[in-house]
Amino acid sequence: MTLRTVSAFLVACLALGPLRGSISAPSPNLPRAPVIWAWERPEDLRFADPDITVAVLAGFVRLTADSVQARPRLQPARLSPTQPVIGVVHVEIARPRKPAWTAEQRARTAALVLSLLQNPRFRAWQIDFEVRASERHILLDLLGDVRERMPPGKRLSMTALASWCDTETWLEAAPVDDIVPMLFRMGPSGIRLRARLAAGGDWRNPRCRTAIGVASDTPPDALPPDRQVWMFNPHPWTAADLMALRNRLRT
Amino acid sequence: MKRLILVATLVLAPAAAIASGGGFPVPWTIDPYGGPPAEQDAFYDGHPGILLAKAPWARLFAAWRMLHGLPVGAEAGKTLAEPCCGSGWGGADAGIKAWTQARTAVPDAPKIDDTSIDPYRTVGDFAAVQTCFNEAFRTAATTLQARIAAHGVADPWVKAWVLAQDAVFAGCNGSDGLPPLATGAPDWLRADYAYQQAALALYQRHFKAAEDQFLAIAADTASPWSPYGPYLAARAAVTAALPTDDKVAFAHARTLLAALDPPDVFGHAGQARLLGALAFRDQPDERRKALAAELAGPALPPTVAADFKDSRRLGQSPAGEPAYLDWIAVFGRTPDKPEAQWFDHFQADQVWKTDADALAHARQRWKDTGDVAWLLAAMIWSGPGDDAADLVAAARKIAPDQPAYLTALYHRVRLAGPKPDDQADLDAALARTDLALSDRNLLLAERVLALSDLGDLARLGPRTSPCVTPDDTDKGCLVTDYGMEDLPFSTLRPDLRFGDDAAAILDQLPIAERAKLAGNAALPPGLGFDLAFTTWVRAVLTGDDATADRLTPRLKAGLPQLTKEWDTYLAARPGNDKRFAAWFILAKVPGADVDLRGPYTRPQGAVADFDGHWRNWLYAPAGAKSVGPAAIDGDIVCYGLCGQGAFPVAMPAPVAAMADRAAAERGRFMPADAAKAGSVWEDVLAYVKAHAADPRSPEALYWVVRVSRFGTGHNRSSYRAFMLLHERYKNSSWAKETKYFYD
Repeated sequence: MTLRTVSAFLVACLALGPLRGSISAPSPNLPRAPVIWAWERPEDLRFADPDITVAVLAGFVRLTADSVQARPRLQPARLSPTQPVIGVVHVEIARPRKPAWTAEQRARTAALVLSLLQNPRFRAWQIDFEVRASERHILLDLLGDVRERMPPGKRLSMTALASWCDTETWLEAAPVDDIVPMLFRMGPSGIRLRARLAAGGDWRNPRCRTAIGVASDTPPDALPPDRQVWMFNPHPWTAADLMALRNRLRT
Repeated sequence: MKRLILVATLVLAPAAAIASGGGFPVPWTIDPYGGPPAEQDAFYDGHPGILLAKAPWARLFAAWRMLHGLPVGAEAGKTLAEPCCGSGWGGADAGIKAWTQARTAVPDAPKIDDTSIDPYRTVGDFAAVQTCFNEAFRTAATTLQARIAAHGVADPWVKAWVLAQDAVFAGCNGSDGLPPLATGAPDWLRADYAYQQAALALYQRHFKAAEDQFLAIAADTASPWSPYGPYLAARAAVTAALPTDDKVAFAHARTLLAALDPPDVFGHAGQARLLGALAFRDQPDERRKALAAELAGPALPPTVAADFKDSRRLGQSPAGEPAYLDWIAVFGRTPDKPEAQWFDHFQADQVWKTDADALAHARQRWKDTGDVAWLLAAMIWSGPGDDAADLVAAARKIAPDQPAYLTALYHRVRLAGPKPDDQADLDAALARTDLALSDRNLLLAERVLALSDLGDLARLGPRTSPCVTPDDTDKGCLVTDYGMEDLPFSTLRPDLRFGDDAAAILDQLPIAERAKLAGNAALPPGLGFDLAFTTWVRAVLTGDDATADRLTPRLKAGLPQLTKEWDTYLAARPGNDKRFAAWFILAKVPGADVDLRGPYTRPQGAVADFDGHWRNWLYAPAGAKSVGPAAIDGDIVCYGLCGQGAFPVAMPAPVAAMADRAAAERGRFMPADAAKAGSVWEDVLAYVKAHAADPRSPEALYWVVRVSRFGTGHNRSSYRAFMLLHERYKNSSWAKETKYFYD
């Protein structure tokens, strides 16, 4: 093995993040069929093809200054019994005060996230948690805590704001198997970024190049190749919505 | 003693969905949800400011009332401002805590902690419903204290009461029954036990059983819970009926509610709301009319937020009624091409099939009624290319003290194109003391685009966020309550940035003008640094040593972490040494850039913590092909939040006059032909090869390797730097820290 190939191998390993917990290597059988988010609104997805994975929002966790709350999903998501399912927890910070992020609050937060993801149908987990620059450590701590306690064999993913993948480098420390940068709701800089990706560009962070999140109401003109596409719909999914988006993105 | 009840709060409707899925960074300068609390109060007290098409519909409803001389008030505003009917969060943490705390007074009671009670019940399809609420737990705590006061903490029947209540709360998400009541239990415990049984039935969603048991309690005049029985029985019946289309169940629920007619009966105050909930389902036309009359009336009820939500869901019938929905359906319509902007809408709200239909309706209504609300609706749906002269003329007639004024001003300037003639009106508006920060930022943007003096950019370009404080905390805006995410702010004065409009202009200025502005004392220090640094990068790439030297002291003050590098740059001899000194700085600052808009990231903290992704920096000699400025896409003033009408940005005349000079410079620092351009990273490798003893050389190689890891190198520069570093400086700390290359 030459220095270059050794280096390339090590680089590939590094791209998966630090060796904290047990992070899965990129699976050669990583499903390329799309994932659709079932956000908290009544969803009936029994029309979905069996190869599609549904990422069901399982619940919410809210961090306040010195406490943490959780609640489960309150709207039904009807799926066929054999549909692959990923459990998603949305974590948010109730402002204006930042969480103290004490050891107790941290432990309770992880416990609540884990409790929301106990459905045995969840074959993988995802944390959806947008943080400000000064709160990155909270997200990284939580991902690490969940990673350490999750059953072996399950993949852990996180959503990421576009800026995290494009202008910041701290995601290197995220102990997850997959990062799903969201190519929607990006604000003023989004137009330029979408144009760049459509023109053959890519996220600057290599860890962000295995998956991508898109929205049905603002579908991109084109996507970088070899991505697992995660699809969001601001309204309840219909077969027509899904077909239109799949056709447009050729997924 | 005031009688206590265990209020069994029912779920009458699913909680509002929260969070959007995916981050939606609200534009940094504008908060469509109304800003911090003081600005919210001012709005609802009658200062509508610039109305945003993408404001929540409840806020637009309040605006409609203001535009028609109807009051709203801060009290009603507090409920209208939030996502409908509260934040949608629910939960019972506070109540559970109160209950578990109260239990500790009973020494023999088994210990439980507040995490052992789950107020949600799983109902299948990945969903749950909240069955137990704060009030139930708090009332249980208060009841326990009353029982202890009456019978003593050592009374074994008090402990029995606690165990039964534990079982009631276990029923929030469980299916077990109560422990059996021991023979010989006193009458007070028997009465409480009957009530606990009824509550448990309710939590376990056995509504008919709950109703029967509450009615039995009502009939038992000896029970202290008797007065509450009719109300709770009626609520159980309503909750059972609502998800069904069962006319008998609805009629039955109404019969039970009739028992609450007398004003002195417990639950009378809630009767109207429960009847309304039933009518919403089985008598929608009557309910629609009743809500419309109430919401367009002179005073708003305390239930205004929920009532507006119901009215919105019932929609218009006939078309045009209720009047507020007719207007909001146009003003707040989701455009056909919403681009990157999206706010949740009920599907039924899209009354108008196309943008053109919506505009035509607004114009017709304005023509028919002369109503200024419809003038505003027509304006926000019109673009500068449309025939909007009549709208602009009408808008000019609106007096500054009118609630429609600021919206009309913003759009008439937009429609006619910002010009120096607008400066007086905009300056007068900016001098107002009742401006919300979002409004100020919008007017500042128009004022910038109307400028005639470049020096004004230093005063007008910086914008203050309506929602973020200087230390990166929130001012109390509602953005996260709406499930929207805000921008990942920098930690250095995150509340202060250049407006996108100002940044676009600054990026189109030539180096000399940028450098002059960077020294303007009116600029806040951070923004002055940003402008100076991006100008310095342009200067070093174009070989403009004089300008770069003049800017360097400013940069050294703003970025003292690189003091040594700045000093070295200033001391370096022109030519290769000076270039290498500049490139060395570029190698250590990944967020460096030539434009403020785009990926430029201000370096902060330790050098190792600087954020950003390096460019493959290229440069071209004088005479290279000119390159135009970065394109300005979309609405960089209001980001589509003000309305569908476009806001094409034209450079002010003083800026347009310099376009050729700026393009010639850009052709040098952003070369059109990469093949003929010089490469910064190539230069670094060449310099290091030729200056083996320079102490910066191994470090420079270390950085060039990193460039490709977190950015873009040049022609396998990472591999070549890695090899040279390990061959020539293998014992250096830089080599030891560089274990891999990244091409």
